[in-house]
Amino acid sequence: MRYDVRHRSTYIYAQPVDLSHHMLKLTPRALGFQSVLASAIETNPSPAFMGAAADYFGNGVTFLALTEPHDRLQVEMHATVEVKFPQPPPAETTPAWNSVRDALRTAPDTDLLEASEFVYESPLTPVDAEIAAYAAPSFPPDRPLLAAALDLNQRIHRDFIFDGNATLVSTPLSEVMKRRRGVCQDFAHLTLAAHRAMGLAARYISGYIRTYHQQDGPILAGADASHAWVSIYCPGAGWVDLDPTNDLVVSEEHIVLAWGRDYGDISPIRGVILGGGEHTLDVAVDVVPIT
Amino acid sequence: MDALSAQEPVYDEMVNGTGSVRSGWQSLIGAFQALPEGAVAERAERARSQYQDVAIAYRIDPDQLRADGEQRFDLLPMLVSAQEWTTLESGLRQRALLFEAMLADLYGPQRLLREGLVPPALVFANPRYLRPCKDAFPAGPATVHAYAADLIRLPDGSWRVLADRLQAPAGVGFALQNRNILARTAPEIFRACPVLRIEPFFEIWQAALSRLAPLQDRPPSVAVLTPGPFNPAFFEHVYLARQLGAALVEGADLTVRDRRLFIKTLGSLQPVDVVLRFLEDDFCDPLELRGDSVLGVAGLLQAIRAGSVVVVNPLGSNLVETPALRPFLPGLGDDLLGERLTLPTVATEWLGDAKALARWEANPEGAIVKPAFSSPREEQAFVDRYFRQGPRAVAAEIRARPHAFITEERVEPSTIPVWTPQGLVPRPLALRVFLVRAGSDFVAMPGGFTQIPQEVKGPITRLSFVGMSKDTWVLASEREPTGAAQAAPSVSVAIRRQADELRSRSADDLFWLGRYTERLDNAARLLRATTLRLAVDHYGHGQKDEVGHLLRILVEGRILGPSASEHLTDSASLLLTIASACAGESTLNQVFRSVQRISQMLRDRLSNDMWKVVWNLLRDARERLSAQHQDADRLLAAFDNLIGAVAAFGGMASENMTRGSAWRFLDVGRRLERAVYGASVMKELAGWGRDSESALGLGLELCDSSITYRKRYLGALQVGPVLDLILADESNPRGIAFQLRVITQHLNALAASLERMGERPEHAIVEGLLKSIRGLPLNALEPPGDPEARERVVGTLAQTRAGLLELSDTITRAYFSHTLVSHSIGYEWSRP
Repeated sequence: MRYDVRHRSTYIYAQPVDLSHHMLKLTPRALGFQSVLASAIETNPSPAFMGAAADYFGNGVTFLALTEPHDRLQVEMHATVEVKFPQPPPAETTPAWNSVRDALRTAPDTDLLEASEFVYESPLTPVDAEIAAYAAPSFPPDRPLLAAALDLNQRIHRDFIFDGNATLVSTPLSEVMKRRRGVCQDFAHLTLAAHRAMGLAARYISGYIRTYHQQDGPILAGADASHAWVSIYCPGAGWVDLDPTNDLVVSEEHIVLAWGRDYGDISPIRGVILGGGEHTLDVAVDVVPIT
Repeated sequence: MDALSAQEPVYDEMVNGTGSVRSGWQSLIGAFQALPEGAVAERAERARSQYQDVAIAYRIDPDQLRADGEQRFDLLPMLVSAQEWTTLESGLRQRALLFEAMLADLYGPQRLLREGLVPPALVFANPRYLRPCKDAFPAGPATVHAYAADLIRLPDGSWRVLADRLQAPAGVGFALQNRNILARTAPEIFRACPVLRIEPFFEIWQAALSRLAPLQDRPPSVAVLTPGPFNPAFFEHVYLARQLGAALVEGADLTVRDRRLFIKTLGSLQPVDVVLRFLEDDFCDPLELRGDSVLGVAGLLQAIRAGSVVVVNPLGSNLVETPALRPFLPGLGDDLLGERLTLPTVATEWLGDAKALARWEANPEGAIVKPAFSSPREEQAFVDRYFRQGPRAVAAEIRARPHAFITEERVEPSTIPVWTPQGLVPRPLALRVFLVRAGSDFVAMPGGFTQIPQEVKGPITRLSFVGMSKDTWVLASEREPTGAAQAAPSVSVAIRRQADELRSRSADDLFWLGRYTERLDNAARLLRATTLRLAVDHYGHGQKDEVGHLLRILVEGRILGPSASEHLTDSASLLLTIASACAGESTLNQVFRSVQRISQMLRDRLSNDMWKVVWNLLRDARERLSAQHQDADRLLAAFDNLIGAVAAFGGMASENMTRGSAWRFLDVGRRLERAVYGASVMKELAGWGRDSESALGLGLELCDSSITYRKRYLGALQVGPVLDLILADESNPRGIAFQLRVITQHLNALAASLERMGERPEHAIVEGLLKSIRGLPLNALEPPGDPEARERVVGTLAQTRAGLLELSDTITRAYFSHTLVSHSIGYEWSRP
């Protein structure tokens, strides 16, 4: 599928900002299954400095600095992307999850070493006994890894209620677990913590999901905004993307921006400002298929 | 533990197992014995008072210092023999080189992980591994600049490393200070022993820092980055910056523009080439590291990646301090250096290793458990909890994430005699030794920071700066020079002084110091006038009307709470209200605290005399005020005292400060606050119709203009002349027009000296205010008086007050906008 993606963020400050530095992770990743045909970031006002780089995980980063006083900042990303995720192998043919766990522990080769970076707890996915206990029934000994992961994906979708008002970015995962409510970001973190509790490698994916209008097809949660899901490491098949919010295997309705250990690694916009007072943020996302 | 120490007695630094004094110590003891009777006690007292003086001159909180009256410095130095020092130094150099090689690999190709020499968990699960630093980590070979190690000596006399320090090791400045104090108080004892000098080390260090500059085409600009006066080691940052000829800066003094680091001064941005940081890794850049850090500089990592500045030690160096890496150091020494490590670490096991975990589970009391990754602060909290609750209580935590814990052998450190009035008492010690990279190798300071921890509960787990310290002597071998200067490094460093470059942050602080001190004066005048009226025998209508006005002014100025006017009719409870507004969490005390805080920030800008006025006179004034006097007389005396203290400060400022930008900003602050005060007072009083004579008298009293008026007009009080004197007369130094004219002069001079061209909104505001005051219809106010004219005067005064507050904001934005506190904004997830 080919998509036209627009993502506009508008900050409005109560008082002028005299100097600001921003770090954007807003450029879709070029991947084997995702071609970025065009991508650009525009800001208003235009910055005194703008520089592109790649972060630790290979995500595209744009650094901005604004040195003139401003009371609003608009950042707009516009990209054309063609995406088709590879089909994962049949779940029953994947290796037993516990053998994958053992291999990751010793990490004997480069691929496994790279994957092992995503085995450990991260700032937003700390070790939590309750989450480990919740995950355990999906991981009986010797169950094929992907079968276990799909089962967990389905259970999270079934047991947790999608509720945009239940949590904030700062809500700890243990709270999400207790209240069984949250949004895509919470469900992604929950899935990551569950896999990592089992000693498996899983990473956080930040991106977008296709926007449907009511008459065109099924409504997917997470549309008209940034979206988040997970990718799990499955030896032989590589990384397999699962969307716990929608209980599906990602195929061609998701667009990858960036990945990391958790949201903290890939926050789309991070900034340090001088002045500004209170601020509001307005976000608009459009993901439109090009036919 | 007891069984163990019974087998092998603790090592004593001075006395050997058979009770005789160790070699090297005899001459030191002889020198002490040669001192006249009672001299040791007298020297100890002198050392203590010198220590206090130095500390008072630099430390942030004199109140805290007064609190800990305990002895912090011991006269008797720690001795290290030449031979022993050679062994220690080479062992430490080897460790420094090993850590450098480890960092180069772990922030580089990570061969050590692929080949299994370091378990991946010790890097990937380690919060000290800072991913954004990976591509900012300098390419070798020489990347580590400074290294320190904490050492203790075991009962068998061998040394062990207790901790390795690669970021911001504190103590080197304290070591220098201890040497200076001892040299001043007991010079005789230095003549008795061949002590190596430590000053040359600082010359080597200064030269090494200069050589780090990315470009060598001009004298480099070197900065020492401190977390600021609230850090316990701030004193030594000031001391070191001077010793190393570097600028002392806080994060708020710095800015990154186009991937280049600058110091912000009023006139310009001064580039920085080299930063010696005393800030922990993850606080250094809030854009890419800890977003909640207000101590760092946004964009610093970008500047480092661009190669325009060198920051030492490199950001991320903290990784190799990780205690869990210790068991792997011998193997890494073989692999990376091809050498056996000669100086061992305190025996440590990583519980991520299944065998080590089993050993610990079999004998949980046999070793100390500590977190594998966390910061020293968190580590201490865990160790405290462990000792309080015992190993069983933390066992579940450990089994859930064994890779996050280590065990450490219990060790008994050596002891050293400490001088007390009752005689010599043995106390345990730890020694911190410092090395810097000079060219191709590391050089150790021949000395160190010997720490006598406070009462030890459980084992020493780390060095702290609470407790007592000693000077540390490294004795020379026969060949080495001691008293005379050693060969200085050949590179000569041009001294750079930027005395004229007022930091933007200091300018802002001076402006507010001016405003706040003047605000104290104004509050004292208002409260004094109120108290005077309450203190008369008969608190009648006349007084009540005046007090009513005063209360409204005080409430508008937030010196009294809005409920104060309820007590208007009851003079006793009003007096209580005033007394409590002078104490506790009142606005007045907040202003006092602000003055105190700002003057700490300005410690190096104010002369000693001015600083003493701010500290001592204002502190005394505050203490007298907050004594909660119930009687009016003592309150009045306290207000007089405060007015006097502020006047002393103002006098100091005009007598002692050079007429540069610093003085101008301080004075603009004072003038602006005084004008706001005048406008607030006269706005209230000019609107008063009935008994205008009383109101006019009060106005003259509050604005300290009664005598001028009486001299000039001789007769009764009249509206026009009084208002003219207070508002429009540009020669009355307490009047509003005078303040505005002086502010204009200051702003003109500042704009000229700082080459501030183009639009200058602050000038437009002052001129507008002056014009409207000059245009007031003061002659139309004479009785019977034109009510419209009166309203216009009141309206203009209200506008003047608002205009002055706007002026303050405009000056802030024009001159110190970048001193505002920066903060991070995340991306509130657009929650679908």
